[in-house]
Amino acid sequence: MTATDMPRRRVHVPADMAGANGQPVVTGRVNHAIERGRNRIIIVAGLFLLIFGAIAGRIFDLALPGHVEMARNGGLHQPLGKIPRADITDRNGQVIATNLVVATLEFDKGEVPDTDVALTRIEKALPGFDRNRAQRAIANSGRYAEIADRLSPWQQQQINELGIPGLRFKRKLERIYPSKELFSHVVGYTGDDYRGLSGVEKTYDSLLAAGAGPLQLSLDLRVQHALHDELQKSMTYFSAVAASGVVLDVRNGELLGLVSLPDFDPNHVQDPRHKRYFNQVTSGLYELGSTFKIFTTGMTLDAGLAALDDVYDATDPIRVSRFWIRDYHPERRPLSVTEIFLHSSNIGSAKMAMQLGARGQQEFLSRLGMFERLPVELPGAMTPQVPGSWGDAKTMTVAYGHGIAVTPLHLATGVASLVNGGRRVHPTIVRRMAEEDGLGERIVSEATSLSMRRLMRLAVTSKEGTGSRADVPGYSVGGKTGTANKATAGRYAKRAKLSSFVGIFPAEAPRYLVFVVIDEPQGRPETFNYATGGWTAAPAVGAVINRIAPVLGVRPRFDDDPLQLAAMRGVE
Amino acid sequence: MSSFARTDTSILSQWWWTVDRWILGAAVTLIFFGIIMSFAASPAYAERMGFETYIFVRKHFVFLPAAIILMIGMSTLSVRNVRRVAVALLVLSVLGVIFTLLFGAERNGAQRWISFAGMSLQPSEFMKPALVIVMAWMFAEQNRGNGVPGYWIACFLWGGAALLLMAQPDFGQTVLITATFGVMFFVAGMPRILIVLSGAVMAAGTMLAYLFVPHVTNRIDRFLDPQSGDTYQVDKAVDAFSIGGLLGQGPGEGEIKRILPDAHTDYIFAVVGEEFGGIVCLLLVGLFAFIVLRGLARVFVSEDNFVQIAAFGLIFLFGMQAAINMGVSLDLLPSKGMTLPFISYGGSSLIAVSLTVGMLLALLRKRAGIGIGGVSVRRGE
Repeated sequence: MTATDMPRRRVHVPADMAGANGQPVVTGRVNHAIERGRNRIIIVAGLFLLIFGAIAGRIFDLALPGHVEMARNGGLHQPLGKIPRADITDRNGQVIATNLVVATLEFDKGEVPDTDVALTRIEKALPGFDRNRAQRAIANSGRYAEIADRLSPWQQQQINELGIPGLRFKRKLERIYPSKELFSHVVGYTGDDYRGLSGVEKTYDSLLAAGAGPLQLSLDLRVQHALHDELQKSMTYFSAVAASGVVLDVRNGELLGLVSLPDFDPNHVQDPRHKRYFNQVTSGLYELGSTFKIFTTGMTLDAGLAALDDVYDATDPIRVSRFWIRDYHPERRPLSVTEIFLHSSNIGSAKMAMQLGARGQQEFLSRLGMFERLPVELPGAMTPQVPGSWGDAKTMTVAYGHGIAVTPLHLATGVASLVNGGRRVHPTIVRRMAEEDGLGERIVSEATSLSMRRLMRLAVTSKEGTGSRADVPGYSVGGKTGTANKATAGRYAKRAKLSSFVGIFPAEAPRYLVFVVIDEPQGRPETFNYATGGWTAAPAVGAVINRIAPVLGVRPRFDDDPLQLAAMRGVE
Repeated sequence: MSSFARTDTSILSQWWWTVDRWILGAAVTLIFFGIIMSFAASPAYAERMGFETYIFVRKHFVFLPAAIILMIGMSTLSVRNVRRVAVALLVLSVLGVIFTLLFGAERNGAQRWISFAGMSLQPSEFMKPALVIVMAWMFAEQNRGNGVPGYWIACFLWGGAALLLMAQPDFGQTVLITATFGVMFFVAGMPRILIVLSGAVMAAGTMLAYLFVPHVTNRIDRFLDPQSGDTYQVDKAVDAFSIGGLLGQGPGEGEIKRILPDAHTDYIFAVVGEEFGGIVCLLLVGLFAFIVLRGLARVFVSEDNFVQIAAFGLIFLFGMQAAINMGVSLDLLPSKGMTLPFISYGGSSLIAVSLTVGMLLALLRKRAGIGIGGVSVRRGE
């Protein structure tokens, strides 16, 4: 019998009414009811089976491994033993990025007796406590609000001593960058989910997340600090809009310093679209100007087309279709290769490039890596902007660094490849193992490389040179200035300059290269209102070298410089 | 136990041979597990409340023998005496609930408690099993067809109880007794048109409660959209199961009991999950499921309509309460505020559940010649 046999509605039937078979109807009705009840009990039993099954399934789902890490990172438990993300250190093991268990102050609305009184007392106990932010947090959240974060154990003690009920500490792991903005563009930062969002944190995200040993960068905290400090000073002094610089080991491509100003504090990332989050060194494309003449000179010498004392006529400006190629400090006479370099003659450089031709120039720049994205381990490294049609006009402008836009790192590695004996340098921000030297194919001969070092040294020491303000007694600095008019909206601005200086030391056997770019420096009375590379970037490079050379163990030598030697004796 | 011969007619011996020893065993196992959990969860609560650490553990030990004696005592009753006790209990507990509404102490925004002589009592816990049995009686009376408008009386009893519970307010318990009433009616013989109708009414009622009772709105919103509000408790509970894994962090090693205000009652299952692990949780689920399914199997063979409906109602009450509590801890259901039978701390809860299971055991006892229950309860009348 099934439930369908049952009458739809019970009507009142007198108890003494008898059925045809003589059985009391009551019993029949009750039996019906019991039978129907049994059928329906089966349905409910099935329901219970489903419910308990769902509960058991959910327990399995939660208790099986996989949820555990998530829950732990959620903060219920402190991480046990395992470090969730590897540290990042500089080349000497100084910590650049690490993890700290930090305490967040949690405010329980249901328990704190009087919000205003509590906040006033917290304010008194915690200097720097942002009361308005706390009030907003309390207003905007449910029962629990986080009103202060990153509290030190001492601060936690201060809070505990207030004895206010309903104030608790939540402990969680946070990525901490102890040097604040110093390594900002190199190290990058992580998001709320603890994954790298920029810089090395992004490039090596999975490696770091795997939590192996610390990642050692090629950067040197001391060098980075000196570079950062000097760039900051120059930027302020010349009221520049930006400044950037690198310190590069020309023998293996290791970057010891990489700074792009303005920068940011990776501990407090706010709006990543702001220009301070832009890494000019690897992502900025600039027409860098006269520093490119190093390449033009190098390719001409190496091709055997001219020797250092061969002469090009730089008397008259060159007319190329609608514009003129002029010199900044016109000599109006024939100049030797050396003089062209020292006076930074655009006319002479253009003529040298024309002698080699567009083909030879492109082939040389291409081998130097000027047309490709450099293999540096940073997200957002840019590919240079290369002219589409490369006619005579381009050949001549590229000769003095216009019409081609590269990153400052392209220029630095290109110059390093010419002065280090002539082999291509591949830049890196990760410390190289001793055995790999980071040098690639041969770009120029040893002899050309030596000539380039002499020219660069001369540009700093000779009276005619433009780089004298980069010299540091004892470290024989060599270098080349660059002053470019910034190209904005398709035309060159007269006032806005990009002033740079690339320096190497010691020039006779270079070990390190320092490149500084200052964006839109303003001349000062002390610089006779000049804002050129020689007046702005060269002194910065000199100051950096002065600070880092002793730190890097480069010994000063005075024996080849009698005047300096005499001066030193006089001091003694 | 073999000293009880089947032929021995003493009360104890008769009880031993007729009672369902499997359900009894499962219930006693749960009670002892409850002791272990009172050690785990309640000291943290006691310390948080500023009491002496083991005060709740000791209270639990005071209630423990009372609970076991009450359960066994109730299970010796005859079917008719079960009904009598239930009627008396219903009257007393309804008076108690009314008393709480007038004079009760407020806790967590609800008036559910009577305090006297340092003890506090939650009368609504006792109202539930009493209500189930009296309703079952009424359903069975109508099914007998001797003129008692049992269905209407049962409806009236349920409506009154629901109103009282809503007044406290205790939404969770209201849902529980409403579900129990509905399913009992279903088993007792609810006409199919009513099944459809009551389904619709239930949906509408839930909607109305959601729309017009802010407390309910809040809880359901949080469940449906965790971002909309504070799901702190249930988030921590779910984390606790994950941290516990299959084998648990070890007894006393859990953290959640220090974090959650209701860890010793509403979220005790999460404490079990964290400290004893998923396997022990599954064993607990298994014990509850065993009591429910074995109980239903015994009810299935019952030849007495009253016993059928009453025992079914008690089993449903017990099983649903367990399922809802576990479901909330596991974030399968919105937060309800319901204790886990035998495991959660709480004197009233423990005594009331022991009473429920005791009465269930009494109803399911084998009776001479006619399986369990027996059509002939009223034979003498």
